[in-house]
Amino acid sequence: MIGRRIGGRYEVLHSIGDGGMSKVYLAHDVILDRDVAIKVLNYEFANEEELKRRFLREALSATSLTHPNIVNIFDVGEDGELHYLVMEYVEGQTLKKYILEHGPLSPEQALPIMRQLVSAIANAHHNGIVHRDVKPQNILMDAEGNVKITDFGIAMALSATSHTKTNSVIGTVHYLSPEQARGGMATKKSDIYSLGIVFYELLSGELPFSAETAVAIALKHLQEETPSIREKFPSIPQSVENVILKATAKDALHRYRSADEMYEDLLTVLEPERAQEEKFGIPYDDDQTRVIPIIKEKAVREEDHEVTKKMEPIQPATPAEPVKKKRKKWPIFLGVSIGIIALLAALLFIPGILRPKQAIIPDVSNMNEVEASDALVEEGFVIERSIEQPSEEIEAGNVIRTVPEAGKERDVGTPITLYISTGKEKIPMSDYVGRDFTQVANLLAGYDFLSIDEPIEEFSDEDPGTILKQDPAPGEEVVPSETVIAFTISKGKDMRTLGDLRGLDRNQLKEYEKSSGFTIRDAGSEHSSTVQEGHVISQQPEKGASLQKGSLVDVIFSKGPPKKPVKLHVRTIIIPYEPEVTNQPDTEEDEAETGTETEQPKPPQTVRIYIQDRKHSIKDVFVEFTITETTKRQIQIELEEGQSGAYQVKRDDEVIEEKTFSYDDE
Amino acid sequence: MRFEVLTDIGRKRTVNEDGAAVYTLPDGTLLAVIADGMGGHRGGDYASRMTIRLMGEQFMNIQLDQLKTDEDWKEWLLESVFYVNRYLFNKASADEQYKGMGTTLDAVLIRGSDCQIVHAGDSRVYQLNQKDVKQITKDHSYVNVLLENGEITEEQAANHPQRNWIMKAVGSERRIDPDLYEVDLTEDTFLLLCTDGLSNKLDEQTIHKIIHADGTLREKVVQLVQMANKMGGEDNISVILIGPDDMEVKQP
Repeated sequence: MIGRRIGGRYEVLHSIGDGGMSKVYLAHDVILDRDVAIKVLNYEFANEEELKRRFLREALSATSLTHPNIVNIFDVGEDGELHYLVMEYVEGQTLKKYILEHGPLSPEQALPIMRQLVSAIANAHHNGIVHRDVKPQNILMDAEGNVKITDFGIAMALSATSHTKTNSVIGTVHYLSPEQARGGMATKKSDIYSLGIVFYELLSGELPFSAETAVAIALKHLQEETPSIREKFPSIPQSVENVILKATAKDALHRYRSADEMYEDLLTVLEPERAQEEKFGIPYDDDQTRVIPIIKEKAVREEDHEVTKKMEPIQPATPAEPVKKKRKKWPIFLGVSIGIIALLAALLFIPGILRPKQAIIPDVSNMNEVEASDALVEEGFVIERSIEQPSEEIEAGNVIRTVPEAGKERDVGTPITLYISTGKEKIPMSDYVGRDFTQVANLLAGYDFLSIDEPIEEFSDEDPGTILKQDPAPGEEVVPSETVIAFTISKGKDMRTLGDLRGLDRNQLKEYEKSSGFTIRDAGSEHSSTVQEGHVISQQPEKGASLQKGSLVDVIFSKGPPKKPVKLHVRTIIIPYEPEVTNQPDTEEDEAETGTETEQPKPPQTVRIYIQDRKHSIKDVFVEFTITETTKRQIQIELEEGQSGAYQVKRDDEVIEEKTFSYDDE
Repeated sequence: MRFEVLTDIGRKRTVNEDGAAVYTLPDGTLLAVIADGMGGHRGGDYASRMTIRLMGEQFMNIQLDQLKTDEDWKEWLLESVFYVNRYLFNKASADEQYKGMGTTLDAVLIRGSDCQIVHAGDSRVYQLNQKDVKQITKDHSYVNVLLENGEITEEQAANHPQRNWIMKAVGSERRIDPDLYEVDLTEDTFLLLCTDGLSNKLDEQTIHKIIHADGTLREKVVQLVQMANKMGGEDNISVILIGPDDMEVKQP
């Protein structure tokens, strides 16, 4: 095979696996110039036309799957006697090998693997494809820990050959669901079962059921409870064990309803608040009486045995009891009716025939329970019991069907079982708040909800797309086909664009604060030669910034242009001493002349200085003093820009000097 | 004892993977062997052919003075099956072409009125008297085990997708643990050995009717095979019919 070119384009490079029914080679696709994995079937299809058709059908349907965790199938073909599948080449190993080398894994290691697997299977299920043979041998893992499932549908298609096969070549039955072991159709629930077994194997490194022969293993799948993983690994949380127990419930009805539901569970299974969950037990439910048609003696005993340890005992041996309770209003009525019938019958038939008369069972579907019972009793039948079950078509409280069915001829007195509708099947809404909308919408697409509304978007601190509110509320029981789901999702934080605040005054800012939703804070003021006083000079953050509603914006106001420094004008003034000469000047002169000058007192003169500057007004006396001789005095005039200053010197009320000057004067 | 052997490819298969033969020793001891081979490219055909041949060789080489009691013969039967099993298993392990092969085996040893049967797989041995028909061997098939355990019904067994899985086959595993049966033959006992090509198609009543109808042994086996072919003949069909000596021929 090595070196051969298959289908004119795939050059076989080397062998990478051998799976009993097939061999896998690495090949190079010369047309697309890429490496591919090519699976060559070991099988001779000669005279197995049906098998061949089935194989092709399954393989082709699997080509429609596109998912990161599903191995892509590129091509299906035959080349002479050779049948092959061309697939994406995944460099890595099988999950089986990984478990052998690394198992047992911790829940933290196993969960990412499980999530990938369950999401892949969920995707296939949405596309109507059941894998039928989920096992680690069919799962490839690359170096990054990404896993991809391969062989959708085909493994089991191939095993359906009419050729006898021995123990050594039949595929593994370690992951086979009970219904498959019995030879029933593999359903989506069968894949869920197998996923549960894979999860067990990841966490324990071992298989839950093993025995020497395939059939002995199959029997264990049918008869033995899935062993408790916590017995071996008590550190594993109960919530994690519950995933295994629920997925591998013997009765498919008790498993996850869908791979989606399992996926959801896996998302939260490690959350600390779930660690103390109660151990999964098979719920006991009246309705279930209808779906456990035969319970083998042996199985019953085994289950009872197991169940004594659990909180919710299953009592399959007495399924009729709770049903009887439901019709407690009937016995009297029925008793009377039957009495009447018996009387009538006696009157009618005593003379001759003693063999039971036959009657046709009337069609009582859609009647309510009373009408239906009347109609049946009228024909001479006995109502044996009523069983409630959901129905998509029949209104709650009305009869769905009878057993034996309408139209059948039966002896008078034949017990009839009524099936009463409880209305459409209700399911509890999960809590989706906090989850991503797109993800949830995909998930919900798997249920037949009437519709999922366009989500209402609201601002919130949650990441965009996160579900904030849901309607119906979590836990509410709803009929999917009648339920419209409405979600409110986050469109992220309320981000607004900050405007240009520069130039606005305080009143305008108040207006802006209202209209914008931002909070504006006065961060002080500065001089500005360009911005009018009281208006905004600058802002922080800058205009155009994208801010959450309510964000703080700092603004700095102008206090007008900056002032120039105060100028100090210093003037030295000389105040001459010039006393007034009066009528005694002669004497005084004489005295002076006579040399007694020093003795002669000089009359003091009063000097007042007035200053006009930044601190003083010309009207007020700056300083007042008296002189008896010519005096020098220094005065200082401080001027701010634009001010003008002046001084005035008065001596004995006479202005002797006066000057004005401006800031700019030197 | 008289016997007839007939093996037919059926109407759908291209290879006859069944084998059947009857060997006799000078003292009248008789060994009837039937085998339905399976697996691999050439394996099925090879496994059944070799089984018939090797069982025959072992039988023909018997030193009669060494086998005295029933116990000795039982031992011999088991040893022979172990020998064949080893031979085939080694071959399958050594040669890729024969990987996964195996075969059913029913060997019926008749010494006078003593009859010992060794059995593995889903070929069958029936014992038929004037009155009734009884299946002596228990099928080592997957569905039969489930049936015996009450897990499935006859109907589910008949339609089970894995009804072709057998749990014991000569050559498929290193060890084999065949079943042993002992039957007392009376003057009107017929023994029928057949592969599932016959037993899947004809129910016990039909088989009984054909075998107890008028006609020679040869005519009976031919009719059995024809009937199976008429019902579809998807598989190879092989029968060995062993009947009491014909009184009329023997009397003179």
